[in-house]
Amino acid sequence: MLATLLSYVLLYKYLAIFIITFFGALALPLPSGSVLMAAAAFSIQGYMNFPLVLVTGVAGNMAGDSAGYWLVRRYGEAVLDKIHLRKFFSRNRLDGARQQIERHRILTIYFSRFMTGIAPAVNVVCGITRLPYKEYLLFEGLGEITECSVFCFIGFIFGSNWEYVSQLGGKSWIIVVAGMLTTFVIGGMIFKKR
Amino acid sequence: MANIIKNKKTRAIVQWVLLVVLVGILAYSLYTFVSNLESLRLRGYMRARFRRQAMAQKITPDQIRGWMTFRYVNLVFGLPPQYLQGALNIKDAHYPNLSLDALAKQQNVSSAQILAKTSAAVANFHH
Repeated sequence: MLATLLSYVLLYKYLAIFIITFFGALALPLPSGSVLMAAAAFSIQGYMNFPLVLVTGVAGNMAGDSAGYWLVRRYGEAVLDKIHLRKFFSRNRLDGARQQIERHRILTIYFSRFMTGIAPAVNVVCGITRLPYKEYLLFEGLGEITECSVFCFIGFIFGSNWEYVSQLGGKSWIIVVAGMLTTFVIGGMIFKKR
Repeated sequence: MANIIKNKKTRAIVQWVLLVVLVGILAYSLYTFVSNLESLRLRGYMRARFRRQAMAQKITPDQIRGWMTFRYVNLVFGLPPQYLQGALNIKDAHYPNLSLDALAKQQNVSSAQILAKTSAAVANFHH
């Protein structure tokens, strides 16, 4: 999938970046971060303009987030079934997002931008609970600016080696999650014995 | 499933199986993570000189991929626009806004063949 998206980025440049980040933020499991990394690498090679890549990435993400927020706020949760996006918003995911927002509203909105699977669910819950749009937009915007800047910065620094870094990043995430789950299981086994 | 979890013996077996699977995933991920890091080190990336080189747009023919377009390849390798069109006998009017994979499909050959021809053509130009 990433290979196909990168071809579109090379062909259609900023329009492709906007569309990919928009739908990635809205609900679809698209590798927007890797696309931004690659686009930043293309920019230092002279193929694209770095500030425009960053601005387009942020704009696409914020537009997708806001679209998810307003769709649900205006039409309710039933709209997810109507536009065939229910499968990306399971009951468990929405309930988990709701609990986090109730406990730590600002941190949840901000840090969820870094988690591809969680951010759309947070947008939906913010819309359903009618969180004031200005408050939502402020922390969502700050989160997207940070997230896009990180990915673009990595692409800019590593240049043509961005693919290796993207693979390293993906594996780091698996290592962290697998490590946490392993610790959790071992901890559960030890405490049960006591 | 709830009954399985309630049974202590079965729960213990499930926990051990889960632990083995998780440790396996962790071990494999760590191995490939370290391998990738080593690849970066062997490519000289840890040295400041190479980082400056990467930042200065340097790309080698072995980094050409099927998703790249000919416009992009021409730019990063400093090739004249018609050079690869002649070298690879490309008749598509979309050139250079055409990916290497798309060309492979048109010419009914594998992407690997097009990549090899393109890399060779790029290497020949710079010799």
